[in-house]
Amino acid sequence: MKAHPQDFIPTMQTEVAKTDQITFMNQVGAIFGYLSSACLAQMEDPLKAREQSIAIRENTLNNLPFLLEEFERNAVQNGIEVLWAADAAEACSIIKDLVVKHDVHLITKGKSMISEEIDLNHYLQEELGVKIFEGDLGELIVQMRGIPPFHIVGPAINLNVQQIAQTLVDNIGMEYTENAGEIAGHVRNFLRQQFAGADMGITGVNVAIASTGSIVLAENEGNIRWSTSAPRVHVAIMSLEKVAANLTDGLHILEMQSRSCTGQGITSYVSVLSGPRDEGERDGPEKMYVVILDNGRSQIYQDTFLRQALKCIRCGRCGTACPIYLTAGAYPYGWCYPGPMGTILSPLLLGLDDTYHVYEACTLCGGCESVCPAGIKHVELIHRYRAMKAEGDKNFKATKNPALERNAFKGWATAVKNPVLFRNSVNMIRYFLGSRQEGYASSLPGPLKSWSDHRDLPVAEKTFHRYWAELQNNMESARREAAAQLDKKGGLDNE
Amino acid sequence: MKISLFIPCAVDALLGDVGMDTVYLLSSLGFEVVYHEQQTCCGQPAISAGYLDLARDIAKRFIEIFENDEVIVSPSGSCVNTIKNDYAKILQDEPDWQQRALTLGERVFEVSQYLVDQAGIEDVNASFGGRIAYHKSCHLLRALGIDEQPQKLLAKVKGAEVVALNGAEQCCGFGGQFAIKYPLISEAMVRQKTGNFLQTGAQRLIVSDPGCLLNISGYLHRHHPQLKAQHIVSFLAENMNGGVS
Ligand code: SF4
Repeated sequence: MKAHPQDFIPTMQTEVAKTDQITFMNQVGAIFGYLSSACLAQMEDPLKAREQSIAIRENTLNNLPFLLEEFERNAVQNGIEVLWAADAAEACSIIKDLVVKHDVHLITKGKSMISEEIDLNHYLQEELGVKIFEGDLGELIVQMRGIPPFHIVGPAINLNVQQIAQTLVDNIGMEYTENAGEIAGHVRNFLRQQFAGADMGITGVNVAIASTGSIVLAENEGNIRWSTSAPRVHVAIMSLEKVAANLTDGLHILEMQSRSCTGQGITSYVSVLSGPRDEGERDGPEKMYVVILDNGRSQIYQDTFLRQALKCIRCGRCGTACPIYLTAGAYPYGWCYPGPMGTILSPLLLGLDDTYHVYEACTLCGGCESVCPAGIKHVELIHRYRAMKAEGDKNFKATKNPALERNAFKGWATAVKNPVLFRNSVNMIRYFLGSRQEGYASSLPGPLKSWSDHRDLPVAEKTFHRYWAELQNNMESARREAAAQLDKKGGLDNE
Repeated sequence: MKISLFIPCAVDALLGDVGMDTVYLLSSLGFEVVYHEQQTCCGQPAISAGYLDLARDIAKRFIEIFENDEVIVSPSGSCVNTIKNDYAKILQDEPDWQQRALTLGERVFEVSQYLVDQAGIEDVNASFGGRIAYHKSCHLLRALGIDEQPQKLLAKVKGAEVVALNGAEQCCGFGGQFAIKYPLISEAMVRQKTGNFLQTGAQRLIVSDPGCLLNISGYLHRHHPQLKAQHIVSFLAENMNGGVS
């Protein structure tokens, strides 16, 4: 999936016009939110469980280089070949070489965001013309329609049953039906044939276990297990922060991921893979590779503040708590990471200029961080991205904000520091807000027009400052009056 | 007890009545209210936009104006959050200032937080015949952890029936500059919020932050003029019977 977060605005304009989608996604958000909270609440000690997942992720980041080395050592001992890729291009070409080397013609895939990140499907199809099928039902539908996934576990969640049925009629010759069971049956038959004939399975990695050199994969449909066991060759791609020290840690992360994401205690399938088929064994691939991708992460890692972005375990819970995502959908984010997950990852991985709207179009409501099982502080990070952009941080591809904006803020700051200037500016602004009816202005000038295009603006009759001054005056004259009364009375008394 | 009022710029410029309602509410409850006339804005817009150098100066100025007060109260959770939580972060390279920010932050409260947690007042002796719904303003709820306090105040309003609001904790789409920069998303969000409010059948939607009030009441006035959003302070002040019961 090519990254195009630069198209945020036009894509968003198309998406927010889909009012049915917004209503539907808000329901999805509420349902997923409920399922996840209920499922987390069932844990013995939910707060402690969250603290634990945060501690595990912090431990991983604090010891990342060592854990990766340990993982590699143990994986190699298990007969897994470990390959390191500095960036997307290198990862793609490594996998291309493997495809050629093993004479692969048909690939099945387990849903993996990292393969979206490096745009692997397109690359392999264009370079080698191999056939690739996504094994996840939603992902397959999305692949056939040539659109990006809308949600990390529900890639086609925004499509209705008619759209889904038609896609399958067009692409795999299914007989039109809107019956979910029948649709799933058709797809199952279709995919089984692909799995049976595939030479290579490509998957992501949910967690890599350093102490055992294993990788762990979670899913609900069974396609990942197919992809990792039926084909001759299994290639797993992981980004380098996905490692955990041991199986206990790794499985806790997995549990938090599934509880937070789909509200399941654990997914239907969990595969712990510790190497290819051994001599004398009947199942499993002949060869197994793990490709470890950097793609900008070691640079993020060097900054101890930004590093927290790498704590993300891709549960997607933040998305269903994000009103921007629920309103504008996944597409404006323009890359494989939609919602707040993308808001924190994309700017660091793609650069701050290209992803400007991704972190700018945020109300800083904090819904995401309140539910994040990895304890990421989204608001703090977004504040930092905006500051990095304002200052023009070269390391993360930012040019300074336009002079016009900077100067406007400078002028405003000057007024804020000078009460007289500030009062005058407030009065001037109030004057320019135009006429009011019933205490509301309804056609605002200049950039404020975008406010009044959609709603009115309440404007009280006076500023607080003025009200306060009047109150003080009234109290002062009341006091004087009272004093005068008292004087008069005193005078009379004296007489 | 003397309370120093912090009136955020949006309240000063656009919602002066909410500021006055705060004065009325607090003085009716027996507090002495003071207002430093040299106060302006807490600097939140600069922090949100990434101009931290500008924000630092504004923060220092704010600290100087308020740090001799015993208690500072504001009708805006969002701005209180800036002072309580953001100041110390942006001033982390200047330990002296950071310390001053932290010391000040401990004495700054959002109104309902102050009344319920500090002053122990839940019943302000108000009554209202009708149904109300409560929108949980983001920065109150998540940045300051203020959830029960405003609801306790509302629960004690005699005759008022507080009805549940779907998605009460979901952002209304204000977001400061956000509403100007991304009007379409913002509008869709406030449409969602007011839609949920409409479903409750309540007459008033009570909010706790000036930002939400500007957005929601502006939208209601345009599209559903029969309905009203109101700041919790104004709602209480308007319906007070005078004195603490
Ligand atoms: S940011 Fe947090 S909530 Fe969002 S996907 Fe990552 S771990 Fe999950």
